[in-house]
Amino acid sequence: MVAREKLNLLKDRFGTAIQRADLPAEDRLFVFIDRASVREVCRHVFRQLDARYIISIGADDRPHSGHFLVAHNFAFDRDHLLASFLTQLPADDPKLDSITADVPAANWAEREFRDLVGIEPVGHAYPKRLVLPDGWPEGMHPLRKDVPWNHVPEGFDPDREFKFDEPPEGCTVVPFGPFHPTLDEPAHFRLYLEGEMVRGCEYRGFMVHRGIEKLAESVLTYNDIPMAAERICGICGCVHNVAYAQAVESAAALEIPPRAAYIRTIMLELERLHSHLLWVGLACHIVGFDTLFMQAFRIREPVMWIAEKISGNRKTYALCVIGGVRWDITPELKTELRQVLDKLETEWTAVVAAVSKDRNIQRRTRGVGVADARLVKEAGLVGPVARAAGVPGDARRDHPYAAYDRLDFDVITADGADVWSRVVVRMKEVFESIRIMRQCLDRMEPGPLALDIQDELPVGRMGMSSVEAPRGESHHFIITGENNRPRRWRVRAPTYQNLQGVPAMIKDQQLADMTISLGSIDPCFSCTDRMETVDIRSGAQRIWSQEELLRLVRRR
Amino acid sequence: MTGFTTPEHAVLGAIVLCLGGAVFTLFIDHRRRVAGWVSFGVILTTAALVGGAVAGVLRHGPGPGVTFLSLPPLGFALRLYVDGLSAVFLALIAVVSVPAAFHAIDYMTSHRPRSAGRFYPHLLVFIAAMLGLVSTTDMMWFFFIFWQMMTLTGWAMIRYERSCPGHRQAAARFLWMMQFACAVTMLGAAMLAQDGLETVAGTELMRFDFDAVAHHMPALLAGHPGWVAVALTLFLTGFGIKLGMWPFGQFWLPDAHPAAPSPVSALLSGVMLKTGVYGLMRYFLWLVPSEVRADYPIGGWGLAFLFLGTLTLFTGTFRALQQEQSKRLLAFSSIGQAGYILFGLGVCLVLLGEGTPATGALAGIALTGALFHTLNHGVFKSLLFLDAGAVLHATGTQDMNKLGGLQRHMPVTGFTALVGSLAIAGVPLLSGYASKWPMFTAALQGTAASRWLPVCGAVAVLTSALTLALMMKFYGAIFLSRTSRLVEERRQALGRLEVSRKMRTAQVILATLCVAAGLLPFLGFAFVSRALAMSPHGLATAPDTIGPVTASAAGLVAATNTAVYAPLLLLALMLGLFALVRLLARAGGSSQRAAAPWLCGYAVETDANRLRAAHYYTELHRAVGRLHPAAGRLPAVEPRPQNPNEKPASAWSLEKNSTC
Amino acid sequence: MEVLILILRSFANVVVVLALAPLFEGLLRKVTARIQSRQGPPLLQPYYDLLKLLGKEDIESGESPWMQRFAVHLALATVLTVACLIPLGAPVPLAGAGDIILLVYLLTLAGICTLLAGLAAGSTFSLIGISREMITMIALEPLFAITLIIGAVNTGTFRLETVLDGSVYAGGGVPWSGLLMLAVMLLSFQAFVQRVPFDIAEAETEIMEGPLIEYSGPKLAVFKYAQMVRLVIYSSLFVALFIPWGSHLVFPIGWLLFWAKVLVLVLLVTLVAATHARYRIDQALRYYGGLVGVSFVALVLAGFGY
Repeated sequence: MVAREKLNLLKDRFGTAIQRADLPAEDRLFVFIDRASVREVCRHVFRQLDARYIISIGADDRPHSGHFLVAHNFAFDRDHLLASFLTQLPADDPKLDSITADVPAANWAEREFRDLVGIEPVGHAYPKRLVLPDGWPEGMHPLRKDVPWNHVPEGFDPDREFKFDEPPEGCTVVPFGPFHPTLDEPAHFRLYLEGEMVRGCEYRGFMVHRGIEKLAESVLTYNDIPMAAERICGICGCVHNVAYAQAVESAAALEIPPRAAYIRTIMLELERLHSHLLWVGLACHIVGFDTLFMQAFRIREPVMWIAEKISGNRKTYALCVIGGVRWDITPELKTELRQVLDKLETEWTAVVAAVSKDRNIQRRTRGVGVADARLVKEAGLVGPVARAAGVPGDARRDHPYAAYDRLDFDVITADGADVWSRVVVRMKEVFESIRIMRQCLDRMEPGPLALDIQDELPVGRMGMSSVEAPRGESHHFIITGENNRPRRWRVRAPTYQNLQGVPAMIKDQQLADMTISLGSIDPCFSCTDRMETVDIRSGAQRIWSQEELLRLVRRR
Repeated sequence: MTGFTTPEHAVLGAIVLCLGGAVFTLFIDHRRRVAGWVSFGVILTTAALVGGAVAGVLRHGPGPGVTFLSLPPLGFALRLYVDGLSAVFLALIAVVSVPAAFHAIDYMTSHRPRSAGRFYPHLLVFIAAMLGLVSTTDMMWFFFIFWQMMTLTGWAMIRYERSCPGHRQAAARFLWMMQFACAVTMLGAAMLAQDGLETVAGTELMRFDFDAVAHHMPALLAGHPGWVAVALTLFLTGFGIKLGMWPFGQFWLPDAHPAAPSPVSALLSGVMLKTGVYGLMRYFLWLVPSEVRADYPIGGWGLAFLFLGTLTLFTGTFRALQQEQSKRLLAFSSIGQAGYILFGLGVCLVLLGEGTPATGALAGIALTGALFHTLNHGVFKSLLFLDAGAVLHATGTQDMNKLGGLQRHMPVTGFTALVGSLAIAGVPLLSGYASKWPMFTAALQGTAASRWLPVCGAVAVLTSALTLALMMKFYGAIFLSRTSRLVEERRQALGRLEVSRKMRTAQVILATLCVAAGLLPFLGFAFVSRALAMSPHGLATAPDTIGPVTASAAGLVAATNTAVYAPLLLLALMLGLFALVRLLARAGGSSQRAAAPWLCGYAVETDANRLRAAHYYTELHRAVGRLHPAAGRLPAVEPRPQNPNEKPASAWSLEKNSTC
Repeated sequence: MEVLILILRSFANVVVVLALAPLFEGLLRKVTARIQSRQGPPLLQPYYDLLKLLGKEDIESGESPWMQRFAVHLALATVLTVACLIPLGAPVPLAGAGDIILLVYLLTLAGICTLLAGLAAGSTFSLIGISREMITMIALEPLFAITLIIGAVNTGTFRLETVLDGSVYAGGGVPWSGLLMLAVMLLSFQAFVQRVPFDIAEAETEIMEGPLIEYSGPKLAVFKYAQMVRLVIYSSLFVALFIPWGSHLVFPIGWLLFWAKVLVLVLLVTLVAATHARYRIDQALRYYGGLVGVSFVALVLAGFGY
């Protein structure tokens, strides 16, 4: 019992600071710790026990326990254990020690719960607004339970400008985004350039506001949410869909039928295929190699077609319900899928051969955007970025879900820590995905697609699920609740952590390398942003005021 | 002709007038404006006198020279001699000093009341000294006197803003370099001089008289060629220091020129450097009589000039590219342009050394080009310094990082700066091209004389791209780009930024000259050719080199018929095509609208969005830095002045002319 | 009469270049599309694009709009002027207006116009773009100039009609310098015509077309037109300098042969552009630096008559 071992280690060291613990499964650990020891415990877990930081979650639990709740989630990858360290904060004093000084990766997460739940991370070095729009009034925290989901705050000022930090002396400020050919989604980087050299940057993101988490906590039901979760992202939607379902299943201790597990695996790998091919194309476009961009998209197209045949949609599969899946893979589809995989394998082999011989591409990517193992640890980087730095983290193997524990596959790593290594990792992972899917197709037995759930799901239980998205680990945390919906659902997309490593990756690099370095983490801003808030946009208000924009929209 | 009998009298009259004016302005130094007008009047009259002298020489040829003062026991005589070569430089002094003096009237009013006494007298003595320097024949004592007059007044004007330690130091360095140059040159003269009085062509000459030395040269060349070579090396060093030749130029020039008030910077760069050119031409081409040129290793000297010129033009221009202070950039660029002149002179010498008629013609083309470029550079560099001065006057800084968008606020200054920048960059139809064209023609076709010519020529072509880069940085960073915070603050404080009408007039006159010399280069060629024809005794006037370029309104054709340039035809063609393009652009009848630049839709434009001047071409500097680390340091990891003694312009100071 | 013929021939060159440039661009796009497994736009799309842009709204963001207009118009006017100074399947029309030095400086002037346009627009991106453009010009100008100088050294003249006629091979014996320069120019040709992998100054995915970012409507049309003409001009210069054979044949044959050679060159450009990624400015600069070194060697060789 790994979970028990870790708990005992902590108890030995911290004694009464460990208030209580919950061990719902072999690979899950929930520990309630004393507010005063949060920082110490987290430092110990992160540094001595060498756990990987996942995310911190703030929740308003006042209606149920009269407390605010903060959870710091860590992963013990080698021990296949996900652990959550929870702290209860009194309703009238929602403060706790910031752990960012010890766990730099927690920077954004702490700022996020400061913005959204109003929990103050005491001692945070840079407690600047992160998530809320520029015009949002201070002291108004949309994820608190007393704020209705459709509430428009008083004092919202659409003309207020974000206050950026002073640029370093002697640097030119170059805005990058939200509307930039390299960015498929809006985010703003304020780059500090010295000639062509990037000397630093400030990030202002969270511009894609949709209020999905708030919506889930207040309007949707358990089985609606997978569809909303899928819409978090246009590339790895299925990952969120599955991760949410698994988080709920883990909270409610549900075991899905094997066929459903295989189908989930197949669809996740199908999504990985399309995503990796798309990424290779976009990366080529960023460095100006449009031919490979076009070819990658051509090769990718059959993947989209077969996805459409299986789910009815090229991209948004709408796969999961709690306890299973909605679509079956019929024998005809099986045959066709095999053909698609065969063709893809041949074509991809040719592309890989061409790219690995191309010195031109390697010149643009080798030694560029370096994120070494140290940065991976400090910033909590995940996915191909971590694996390209030689850190063999892969949720499919470390925290197995769906049918991955029954399959044989390799975790691809490289050791260049640069963009080229990320290219190599992704290109090779395509072959692993094909291998996994073939195994699934071989081993899949007939059987039910979903559990038949008769009872209400238990209330107040916590669940966690990590799913290896194409870009890295997507982590979902859930607290089940009343009214057939969760009390708190927190999504941490891989880009949320990877993006925090970007400033370090682009520092002292050329501007030309900045775009491909950013591109190499395959940033997904809509995943990152999710958006807990309501219905106010803060997009392009510099050119059109909000009213003008609305007028413009209505006129069309 | 004025009332004087000879050009020499006119020049002496001009010198005396300037000295008199200097004394007069000393007495009215509390009335800055009056002093300015007086000095301008004096300089205008001087220019008229000099103009008369030049016209006289060109029309009638040089006289025998006039001795005004003679002290035979000391070997000391004030003998002036104005031939075509002197006339070219006299004309340059006249043409540049008038607009500079006119510009100075308003420019200098912004200083403390008493300060006029520290400026105008010096300015007038300075001009008198240059007039004397290019017309005296005394290689020793009067050379010394004029040189010291020029140096000391120059020193005083460079340290005009005494409160600034950087300026004091720059002035001191200027002083010592000039003293060294003076000593070296005089040593060279002493080595060549023979004892006793000499009577040449019926005139009794002192031992240090140029013609006396020239008279002895054949014997000296035959007897002691090494002795002559050492003396010539000393001359090359002395005058090389003056014109900013590599490796001496970097030591004093870039610090000294920007420190002086801008009209003086214009004179320093536009004219004073050229006294070095004059010295080199005079001593290397006119000292040795053409009969004995077989004994004179002219080709070897030519190669030395060529290499030094190429090195100078490349290093000067490249260093200029790294500058962030406008006048400092111009000063480095002056080194580069002096390198071009040296290069042209070297080409001429190399080709002369070959001695065939074809190379002789090319040598003539090269020399014509070098002289024409001397004139043109005098004009456009003074123009650019006046423009930089106008900007400094208006904004209080010469730090290009803090400037931007001035074209809108100072349209005339901006436009003249554009003309000057394009001219110096060698854009066809402007003056720079007209004078680079003959130098390139000679250099690149002279392969027969030396295989190094085309290689150095190619370096010169490469460098003209650097010149372009540098002028684009100068013009772009100051006048285009976006209005900087400093400029906006100044505009609000002052109401308008454009300088006074007088200053603008001076700039417009010089800009017009750039355009005129570019469109009608045949006038310049005719002037220079005539001047060379009126400079007897020199090597360059051997019969085969007369009229190397057929120049007419229709265009220029090299005597060898291998190179042509027809500016008016080209102008007509380009105007026609420009009209055609305009027609095309308007054919769609599209509407125009002003908008803010695109900053990706979120950020609001701030001063920090302007690309700082320090950040232009950083990759080039880095690339060269890999080759040799000293040159390629990124200019602004921290904003740090190039010279540790020179502080950058204070950030948003509204103090006038605060360059330190 | 003679003057009239000169004017007519110059005009013919201008018209031919203006008429053919978008066609070559269209061809380039079409072939690129085919290499990328795409259908591609119609061959005449560049003409439509130009027409469309000419009628679009012209948004001027710079502080000196007259400079923006002047620079853009001069850019096209300059390349058209160059068109009158080079052989386009027929002898040089205006050989009397200037020589190869003028040619070098006029092509530089075309670059200057881009710089001025970018500087006048004043956006951060356009300034970064012009900084890159200028660095490229510094490195490329010597390559082109040295090619012409070698021709001039070989033939002893600067006259356009002589130098722009395969003069690089005129040195006698095996023309090593000419062959060396042929290699150098082939290796740098993409940069001269501002295509991938050397379209660094415009780099859409980094600085959003750099100097062009603030241009729209007719100005963009004129700019784009100038770029298309530039492709034709440089290809023609390349053909005139390095592949002169057959250009002297009787009118329709020599003319057609000339344009066929230009066409082949454009296809080559397309092929290279479609199979490369964009270089970074420092990488490109190192590359150009090597080429400049080689071209100086070629120049020295030419000096020795090779």
